[in-house]
Amino acid sequence: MFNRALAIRLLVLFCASALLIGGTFAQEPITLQFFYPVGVAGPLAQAIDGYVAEFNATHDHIQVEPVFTGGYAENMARATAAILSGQPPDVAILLGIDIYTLIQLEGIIPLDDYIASEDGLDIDDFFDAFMANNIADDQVWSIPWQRSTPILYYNKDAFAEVGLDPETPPATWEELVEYGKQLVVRDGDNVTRWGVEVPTSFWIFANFAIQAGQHIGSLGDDPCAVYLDTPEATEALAFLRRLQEEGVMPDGANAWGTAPADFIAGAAAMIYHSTGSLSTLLANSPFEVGTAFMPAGEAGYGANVGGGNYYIMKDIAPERQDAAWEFIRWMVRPEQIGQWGIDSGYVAPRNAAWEVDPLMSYAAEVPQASTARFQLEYAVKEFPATYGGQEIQVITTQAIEAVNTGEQSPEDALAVAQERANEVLIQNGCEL
Amino acid sequence: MSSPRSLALPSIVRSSGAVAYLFLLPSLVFLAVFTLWPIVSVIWGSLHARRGRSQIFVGMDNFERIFSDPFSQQVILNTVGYVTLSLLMSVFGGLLLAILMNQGLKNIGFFRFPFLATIAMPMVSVASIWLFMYSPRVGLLNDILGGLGLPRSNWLSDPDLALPGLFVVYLWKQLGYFSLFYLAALQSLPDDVLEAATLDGVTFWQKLRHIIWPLVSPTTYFVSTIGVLNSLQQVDHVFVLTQGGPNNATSLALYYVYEQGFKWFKTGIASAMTVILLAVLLTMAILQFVYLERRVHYQ
Amino acid sequence: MIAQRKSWQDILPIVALGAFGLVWMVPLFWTLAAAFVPTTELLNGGPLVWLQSLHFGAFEQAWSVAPFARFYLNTIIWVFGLLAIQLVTISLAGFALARLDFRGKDQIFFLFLTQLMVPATVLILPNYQTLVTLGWLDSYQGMMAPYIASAFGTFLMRQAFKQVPKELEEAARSDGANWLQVLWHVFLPVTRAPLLAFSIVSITYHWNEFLWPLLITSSVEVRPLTVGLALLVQSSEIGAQWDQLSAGTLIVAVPILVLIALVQKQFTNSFLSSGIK
Repeated sequence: MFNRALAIRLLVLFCASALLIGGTFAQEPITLQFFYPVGVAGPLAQAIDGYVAEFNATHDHIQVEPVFTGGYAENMARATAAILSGQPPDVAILLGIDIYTLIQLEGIIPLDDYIASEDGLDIDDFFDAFMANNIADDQVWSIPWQRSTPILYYNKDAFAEVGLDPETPPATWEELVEYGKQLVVRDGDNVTRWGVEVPTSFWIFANFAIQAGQHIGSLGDDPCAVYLDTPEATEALAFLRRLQEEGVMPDGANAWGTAPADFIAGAAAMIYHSTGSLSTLLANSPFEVGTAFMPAGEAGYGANVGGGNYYIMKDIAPERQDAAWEFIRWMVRPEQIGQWGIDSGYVAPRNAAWEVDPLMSYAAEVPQASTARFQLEYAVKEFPATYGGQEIQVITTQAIEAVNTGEQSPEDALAVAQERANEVLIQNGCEL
Repeated sequence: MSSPRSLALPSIVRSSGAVAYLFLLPSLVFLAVFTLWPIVSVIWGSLHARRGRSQIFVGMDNFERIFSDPFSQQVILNTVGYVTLSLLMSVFGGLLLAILMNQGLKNIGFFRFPFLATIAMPMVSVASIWLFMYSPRVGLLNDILGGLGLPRSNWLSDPDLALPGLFVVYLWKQLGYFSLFYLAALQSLPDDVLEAATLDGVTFWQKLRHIIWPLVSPTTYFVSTIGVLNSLQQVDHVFVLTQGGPNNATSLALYYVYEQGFKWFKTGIASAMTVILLAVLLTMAILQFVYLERRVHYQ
Repeated sequence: MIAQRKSWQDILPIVALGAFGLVWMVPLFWTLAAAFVPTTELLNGGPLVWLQSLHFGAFEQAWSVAPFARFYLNTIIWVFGLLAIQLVTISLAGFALARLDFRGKDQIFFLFLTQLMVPATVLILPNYQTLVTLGWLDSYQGMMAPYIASAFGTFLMRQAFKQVPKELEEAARSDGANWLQVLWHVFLPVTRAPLLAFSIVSITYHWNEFLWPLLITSSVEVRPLTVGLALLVQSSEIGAQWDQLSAGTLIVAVPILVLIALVQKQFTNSFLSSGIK
């Protein structure tokens, strides 16, 4: 007969010996799986793989295996699938707005203990705006890495050509319209150069709403709040439509990738785009590129941050989490994250990075690199830091598309979007 | 006959029945796990919804949501429109191209190459090519239209043009495929049927309507079946070109499954849409069965 | 025969077909141009400028930005590995259904029919969950699994095997060969044409497959070319890299185009036999 007590004893013995063996081989390196997306142009995947190779070369006990998973959405999908299947990666770069979804999935751990530990991190050195999406329940869940805000890019040669001062970009919405009109070039019925091109995207639209006076997302720690049908949001969307009606911006939806292409080709004199596109635009534009704050609305300047942070996953062994922390700490060293800023165009998210080389000399040489950093003074938390954020992004973008293609009025489109966003929140357990 | 030892069967499987089961085993295992089981599990999934890490039973709720939400209604309409267009294309476009290919010289492989080449290319490549064709300000299509003095369009960003735009991509890739079946049918027709008609001075349209069309009707039936099956499975170009936009105008059923199931992990909704697709496929299979029965009956 | 009249009647459709074919090729020509001419010259110059500025830089860049060499290897492993397995499964199953008697034949036949009705593409969601359970995500066997049993191939082989004369089989059987030996030595040598037809269809279909590998693979060691290309399209959110994209597109498509040019006739026939893939 099968003896249960004996079986348990054997099991204990087995586990003990397994532990013993584990201890003996503690010198075996831990291999970490690291998921990362690339959100902007350029051979950034190569840059990251290069950093990881350097980390691996200098760390005997940790080997990091980078996995490039596509754009932000694909990366998050991949990570979610892995978490749900119980086989998460060890460390991942995911959007700041995904924080609540990840907490809800019980997929990540808070990092406060690591930050406060001996091998910690001076978290106050990171810019406040870039920490806004990283904190929930008074705990820090992620460390900023590839962070950005949109800025205004303009073609200085085109400004000079139409008699505008290349050193004075538009500072207000009205000036944007006015300058835009002057910059438009027509060939018969066909416009060969547009005044301004604003990509049809929730992430760009959010800035206009802030400039009009009310962010479409929550500024505090509330995963259930979306403010799409406010008068300010409506005004912002109506302004985007007005740019088209005044013949300053191309009609229809404008794809995210089309705007930089048009800018480089001289088909758009000004574009709104991520600061992360800076390096590529500087390298490829056959004219002088100016950068500026996004023009101010009634409520002044305003910007919505964005981009990816490092998260450490929950369902992995504590020593793997420790190793992941060591990797993150290495990656966000001031020199390292400054180099990353130069390679990519992302805003190095901590003060110290700007005070040492290589970034210090680079910023002195390329003044455009600092625009986004100074704009941070007006920057707030990224939208939509809620449950189901990825879906609410799409819902919001669809509303903007409906208005930019002339299908719906701003009021109607935003009312529909608000209702759909609420539905997503309720499905995720919010009480509205 | 040489009988290498490696082909020796175990002695238990002497009877032809046992051999048959042994031969079928590999296929049956994979059929069971990757065709039958998923049908069962997707039906189960369609009755549940994910909450955090767990699944809760919600009855027909997912289906009600799909049929009541205007955006998923639009997905269904998009799909129906797309499938209908592709049905027309596969039948009429395929037949006309086949007639053209079947004229005169028999050995004109060189002229057929363009239409065959596109069939064989990955849809992802084809879609990337068209991304550049459609690009509003630097794309070739608008350049050509502008050169001809025609209005330019923002092809993939205009809700009225985006779905037809996707369809053109599919057409470009697959027209040759459907015409192949008609070409084979035409070539199997006796030469004198077509030639006699030409000599009698009938017009092309009369010939098409009264002679060719009835003669190729079995092919038409076959082509429409695979045309529908094929177009229902199209998703790669949506992924590369529009991601379902603008404003949901190009979201097709399978892309919807991808978006709901794999981007947002609303597995219940995605399963329900899969079940709807399965129902459509099943209906088609039944229609096919009835049609074949009838043909056998009347022959 | 009225030679004069027939000649222009013959030539007109050929000219029409040729012209139509040329128009059909425009996107391909455009891609070629875009891959070999720097984007600024492509957009601003005419054909003369293009010829002067031909370069291979875009291919080098595309090749270095994405590990296409590895993607090639992966595609070859998964497409040909799958084909090898399929040739075994469809031969065995086709043979059983064509030449052997056993109970439940009709029911099993119907099971195969189900797969013809329900293409694997539609079942991505539940099949993905199955792979999670099996721990087959991000693996070659995971990519292959839904296609290992092929109803199309099985029916194709069943049809072919049915046409093999009974006498051949009986001769081998009376020599004491078992069924596997009969299949190998008697049936397969005379059914090379359908095996080739199936192979061409299978290779083309899986070489081009995208969504399923996209969903289940995450590492460079497994991902096929199509997924690599789509990631290149996605990661370059800037249109200025059209030359790289076009180069990547050609890198993926050219082998298949060459294959078609070489075996156009077999290709045509294979696809005719494919019907429902």
